[in-house]
Amino acid sequence: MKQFYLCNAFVFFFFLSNAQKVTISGYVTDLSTGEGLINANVYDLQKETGNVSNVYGFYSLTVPAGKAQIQYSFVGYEKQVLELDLKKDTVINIKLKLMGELDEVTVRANKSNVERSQMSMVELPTEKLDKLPLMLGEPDVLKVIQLLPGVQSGAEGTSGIYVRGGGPDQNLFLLDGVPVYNASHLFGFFSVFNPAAVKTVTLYKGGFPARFGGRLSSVVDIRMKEGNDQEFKGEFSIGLISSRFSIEGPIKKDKTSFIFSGRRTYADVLAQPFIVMANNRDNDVKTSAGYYFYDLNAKINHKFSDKSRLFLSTYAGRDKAYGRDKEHYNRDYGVRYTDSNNMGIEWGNITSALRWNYVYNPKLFSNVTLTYSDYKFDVSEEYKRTNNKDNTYDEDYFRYYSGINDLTAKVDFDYYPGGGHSIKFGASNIWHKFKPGVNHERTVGDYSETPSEKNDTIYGNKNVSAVEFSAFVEDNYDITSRLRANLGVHFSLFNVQNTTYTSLEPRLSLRYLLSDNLSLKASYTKMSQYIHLLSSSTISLPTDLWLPVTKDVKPQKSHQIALGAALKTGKGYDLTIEGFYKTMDNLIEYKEGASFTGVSKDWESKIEMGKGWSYGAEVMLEKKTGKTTGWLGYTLSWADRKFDNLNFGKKFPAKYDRRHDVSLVLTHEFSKKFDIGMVWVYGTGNAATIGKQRYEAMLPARGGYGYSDYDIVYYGERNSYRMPSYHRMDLSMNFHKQKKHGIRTWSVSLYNAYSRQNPFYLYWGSESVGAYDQNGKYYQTSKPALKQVSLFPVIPSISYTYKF
Amino acid sequence: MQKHILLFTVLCAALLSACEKTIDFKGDGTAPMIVVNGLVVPGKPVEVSVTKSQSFLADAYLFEVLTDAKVDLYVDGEFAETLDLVEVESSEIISHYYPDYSEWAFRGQTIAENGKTYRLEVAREGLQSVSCETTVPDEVELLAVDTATELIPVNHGTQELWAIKIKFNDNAENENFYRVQVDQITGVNKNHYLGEKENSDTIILGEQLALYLDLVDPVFGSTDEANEIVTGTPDNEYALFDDTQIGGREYTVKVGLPHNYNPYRPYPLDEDNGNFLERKIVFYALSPEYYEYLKSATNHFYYADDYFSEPVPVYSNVRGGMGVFAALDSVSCSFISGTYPMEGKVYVKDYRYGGYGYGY
Repeated sequence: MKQFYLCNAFVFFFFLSNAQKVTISGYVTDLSTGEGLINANVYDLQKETGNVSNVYGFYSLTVPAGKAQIQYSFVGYEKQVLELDLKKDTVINIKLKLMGELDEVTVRANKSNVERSQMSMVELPTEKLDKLPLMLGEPDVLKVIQLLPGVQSGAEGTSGIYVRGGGPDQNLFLLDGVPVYNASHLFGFFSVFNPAAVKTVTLYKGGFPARFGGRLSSVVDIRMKEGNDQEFKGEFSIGLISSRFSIEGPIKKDKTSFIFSGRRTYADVLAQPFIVMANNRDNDVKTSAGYYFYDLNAKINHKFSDKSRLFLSTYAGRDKAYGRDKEHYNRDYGVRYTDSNNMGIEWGNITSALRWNYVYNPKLFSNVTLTYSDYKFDVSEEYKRTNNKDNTYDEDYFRYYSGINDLTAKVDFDYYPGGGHSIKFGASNIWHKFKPGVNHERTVGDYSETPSEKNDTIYGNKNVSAVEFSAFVEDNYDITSRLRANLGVHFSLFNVQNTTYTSLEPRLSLRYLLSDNLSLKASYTKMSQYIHLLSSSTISLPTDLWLPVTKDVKPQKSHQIALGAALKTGKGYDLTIEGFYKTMDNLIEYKEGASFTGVSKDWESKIEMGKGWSYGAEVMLEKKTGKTTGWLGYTLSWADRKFDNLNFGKKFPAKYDRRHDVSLVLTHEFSKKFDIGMVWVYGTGNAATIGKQRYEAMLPARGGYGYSDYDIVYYGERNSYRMPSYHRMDLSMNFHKQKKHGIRTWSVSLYNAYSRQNPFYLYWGSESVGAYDQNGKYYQTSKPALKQVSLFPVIPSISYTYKF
Repeated sequence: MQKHILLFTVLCAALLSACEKTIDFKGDGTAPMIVVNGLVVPGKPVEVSVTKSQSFLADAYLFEVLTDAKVDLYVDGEFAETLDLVEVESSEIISHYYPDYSEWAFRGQTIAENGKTYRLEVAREGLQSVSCETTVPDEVELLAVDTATELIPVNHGTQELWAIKIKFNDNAENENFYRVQVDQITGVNKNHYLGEKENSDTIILGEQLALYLDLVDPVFGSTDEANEIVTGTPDNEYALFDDTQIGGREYTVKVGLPHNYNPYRPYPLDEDNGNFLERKIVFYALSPEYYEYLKSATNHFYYADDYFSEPVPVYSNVRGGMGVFAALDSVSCSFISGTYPMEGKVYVKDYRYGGYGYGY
């Protein structure tokens, strides 16, 4: 009976307390574009409680009824303070105005990094992207991410990222929530994300909120612009290797807007006349070859009401390398023949997302999403000899194609019950279809083993279907005025070929405010990954193959703890210090000797499974506002691997284990007309396995070759050699001018300004040396030498951009 | 195809201005070590070579034979003897071209036997001592060897091959490792080489060790053509296989010899001209160490110049050093077309006609 009364009393006080409170909710948007502002602060100045807007700009804040002062702020925008007399739940849509010059007041007003419970997260200043100097003048989201502490870059010039000792397959790239599997163009030298279409980029290195799952090491959450719903805007840019454009505007003001952007390289077009001149001197011979990539982004959104919005976004990107030649000649007493040879390699992604936002009530926001993604790799080669007299032909054709399709249905909710809680929960289901590689061969006539027959065969691996289900709930909870926690749990289930794996992953992030400007943070996350990337290359290749877990190849798992502190100084500097420790299980590596694969047949027998560890500390000193902005990042880290059958079972450094990593990124605006940028990076040399000694072999004759190999190379332990350190400085200058219809910008960049020869790979070669024989006669001989191959010396570039 | 892609990748890199320079080697692991190489064969005395590894920076190209090393042999855990340094007979081809060349090895009196375990402890002043051990495989039991001309499926259809079927008994109690090798000795009438119609009494001998074989049997592992897309994959050049797919029973392993590996074709096998073709089929049972050594060596050499792949270390069972101390047993049979030897004919190993001891 006592329990009954207690329960009733609790319910009574619960309703009483809620009866005295009201909820204000709505969207925080940019005044000039209508774009939702993500993580804008909504703050009750009297009660000193607040909340932030979600990824669609929606916010909800429950405050006591009566008079209230609500402040809306977002870095770089003029804050707004509303004096309200709240009697009931109220919808307030706020449009913030972008500031021309940022003042110190704004700087002090923004304490989000100190205040938020999330750690190991960096929001990339996308508006600074085109101010930074980058290779060949191409702004690249992933190359800016490489400059953040805790992130190692891959091979020189490529956009691969290795986060906190993880592998390149352990990063989840989400473009508007849709996973992108191969996020690079041109063998990794450029990422697929067109900066003109990108609105925000957020990198999570640890402390993953429960809403994310499926990869061990990072989440790169990229949100595309929604499209200006106020006026038409656009830009185009012409660079050395590519040009890009973007146009956006309202279809119906305040209701429907769109954005469409694209990018294409034109080296193939520019080089074509030279290739033709070089090869086509004979009228009977025609040759062409080239390479290009393009990507297109499109998004349309429609506001049915304040409660209901629909978004449709799509991305399509493709790389293609090709070579063609054709030769006409006479044979067999004047019969005219034509030989043609076509070779092509193509790969690319298509992603689409249909998203519906609905506000059920001021406290409950929902998002329903359907997404589709398709990655394809296709390589083909065809030789054909045609007899033009009787139209017969001989042919040798080979094609290989692979890919992966995902269809995802997802629903998630943001629930703001008040009392310091912000709850997110939801579920998703992904239907994966892995296409691990199919060969198509066709031989006709002379190319066929049986010339009288046409051989046409398709063989390879069957498609593998898999289902990945996940559900999550997380609560961002203000336990006290100083202590905030993000508590959550992520559940996942993966079913493939009658094998089911499940994982229950607790997630916890804590923040304790020591003062208004200083907080301590801690986090723990467990992650699971059900797909593996088969790649043994140091560069991103289209042949890299995503494959699901199997009965024998278990899901990758990781546990990560992180501790840190965030400090905001009075002069606009943010300082973040974090330490982390991560363990990883069921990592895969090729067996010694396995190389590029391109196919999944028997792939399980070609890999080894092992463990990984990484730990280290990261420091980031950042200045986001003022004329001079940028950051200084430093990482001290270790990343090791241990596989029973690799390196004789001993622990060895991971390929991108890098003890010290420093990046200095600065931009300075001298005036509206002129600004400069600088990037300087330093990293300990990459770990490499190179020969150290030679010794005598004992090998019998090989089939068809006899005896040929006498020396064996001794490498010592795997990755036990350190390449020379890497450092580089890039510089840029941007000249802006207001024109009649917009602003034009000339950008001049120097990549690797002091032309440092950074190591790409090492090998043993020889160098010529002078010597004297017994008679004192000079002669030339050679001696063994360690050779370093470098890729990029100083590379100047220039680009022209016009924004209107 | 794979070459195109690799070429394209390299071209892209080259276009983006690759440059190269010599750098200093700054690392450890260059101290020389003892290298032991030896194969224990039943019925023969235990014999090993002991040499010294050398740094990549060393100018010398020949490996130093550690003539002053002490090599102790243990049989089934018991000390047997200290091996003696002996000058060994060089192969015929080496002797022919380098008559002054000496090869040295350590040899004992102990005659190797199937099933016994042999351990070596090797010491040499100034170098870390090493030890290594191997067990001689059980005697190979060959049940039958058949040959026939067959049409065998290949990549683009079928091909006419000389199919060799080797029936053997796999011992279920052990994990077993095998190798197949086909050698060829040809005898061609000297005048046929010279293009004359008259027969000579001199027959030129030629030998090819380890002919190329089509490894059509699944025990050799399949070669997936799609694997070849970028750089290709190494062939099973030593024709190695294990008993994973056999599982301790009678098994007939099949290999194919392409017809174009018959250099005898232009020369008729007339009864009196002395031309002949002998094919020797050798079936080996290998100790696990030798199997791993050959397998890893195949990959080691194949990927040596592939800058995009992890280098492959060669397996070694020499603790504290390098090399391999392993064992094998073998059985062979020969098939001869023509007559060899033939009365009245003089057989000459003449290196001007295709070499001897080398493949073509």
